[in-house]
Amino acid sequence: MIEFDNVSMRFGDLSVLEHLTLTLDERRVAVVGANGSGKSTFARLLNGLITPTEGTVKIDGLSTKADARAIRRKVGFVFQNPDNQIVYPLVEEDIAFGLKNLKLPKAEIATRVDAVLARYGMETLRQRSAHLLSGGQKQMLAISSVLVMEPDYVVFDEPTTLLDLRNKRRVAKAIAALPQTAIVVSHDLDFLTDFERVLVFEAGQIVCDAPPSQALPFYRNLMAAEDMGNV
Amino acid sequence: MFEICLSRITWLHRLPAGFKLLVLAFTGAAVFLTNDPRILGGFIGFAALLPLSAWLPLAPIVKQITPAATLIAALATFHIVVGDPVSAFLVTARLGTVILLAVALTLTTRVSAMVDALEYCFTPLKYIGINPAKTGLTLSLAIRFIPVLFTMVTEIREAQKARGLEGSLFAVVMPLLVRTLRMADDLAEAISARGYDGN
Repeated sequence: MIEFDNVSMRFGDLSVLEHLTLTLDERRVAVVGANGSGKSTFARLLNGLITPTEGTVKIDGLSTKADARAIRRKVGFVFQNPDNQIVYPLVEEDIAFGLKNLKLPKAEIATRVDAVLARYGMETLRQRSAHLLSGGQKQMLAISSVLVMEPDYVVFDEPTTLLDLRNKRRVAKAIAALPQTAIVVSHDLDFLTDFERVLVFEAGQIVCDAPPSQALPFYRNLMAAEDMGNV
Repeated sequence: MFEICLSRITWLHRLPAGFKLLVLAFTGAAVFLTNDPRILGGFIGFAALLPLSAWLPLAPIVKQITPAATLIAALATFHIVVGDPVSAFLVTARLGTVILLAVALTLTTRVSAMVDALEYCFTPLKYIGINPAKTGLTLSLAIRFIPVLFTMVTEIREAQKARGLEGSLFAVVMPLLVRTLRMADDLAEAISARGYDGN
């Protein structure tokens, strides 16, 4: 369970999130909002990449401030641009990176890497240089590199933004099939229709917290209203 | 310098990366400690036979040595023109030995294995406050991001060309710098998110 208790986040004088209190225990949670609305900050708080200026964020009772290392193992994070998160030149080496950090035995690393490559149909790419992969393959590699760590929660920060339609579908399918809890920040509303809960962010606040059938039309109307105001 | 290790396993692949790096380092030093053409002839013969003994395909070897061979040929030609064929041979033998051994190493050793070996070599540095794991990771990242930076330069040059700024170095360097710094920030976050603590 994810708990935000009176969380505020400021960068200098800029307030990005204000007094956020909520509990998430659904398996599929989507986060939408305009650029600068605070949704990426919200996502980064989940993995302890940043810690709140005020309040606490807890994942299964562990504080992101006090238990940073345990939180990193519990919550995986997939970034928007896979090029900026692939560390090793070869596909299989990059997937093994996080496991090596855990100092797992070589045999276990190999088993887990094989399993994740097989799950996403990437066995033939295992010896391939990461820079030679297509955009969709790179994103699948980034996702595999996170999932091989077997986190309980996976946060995706705009995972389909840089992808074409075919690869968007591939990534969406992979996320849908995850056994873990997935929190997905996205501008791709079609991809979020099957989610259980959608949080709509606006100026650092959650302005709508509802199932997709209500939250997505609300968000569309919000954006349309802003468009009208700007014309 | 990307991952160019050949996938077909040979006896050279099976040698530990650390041993291969040591051979390269010692031979690289040794060829500059002697002026005896016979010994240097032996060194370059050994370096040439090494990849052949492992039946490494010629095409990647030729591809790897061509740029350096051009430079060596130019240096040798210069020495011959000034009437010093012995120096021409010494230069060719020294540089040729090092280049051939380096090519044999890179074609038969994974980058990660080399980085692991170097990380092991750096272990004593921890006593003077240098973290070997972080040094190893830095090396991996440097290798991994060479093609990314090339792609970035190409994208920026194309964008500036479209704006009519193809002759401006500043127009390429500035966005490259900004993008590289931003990418470094993102990468640091990503590494941290994957549980890396540098120990």
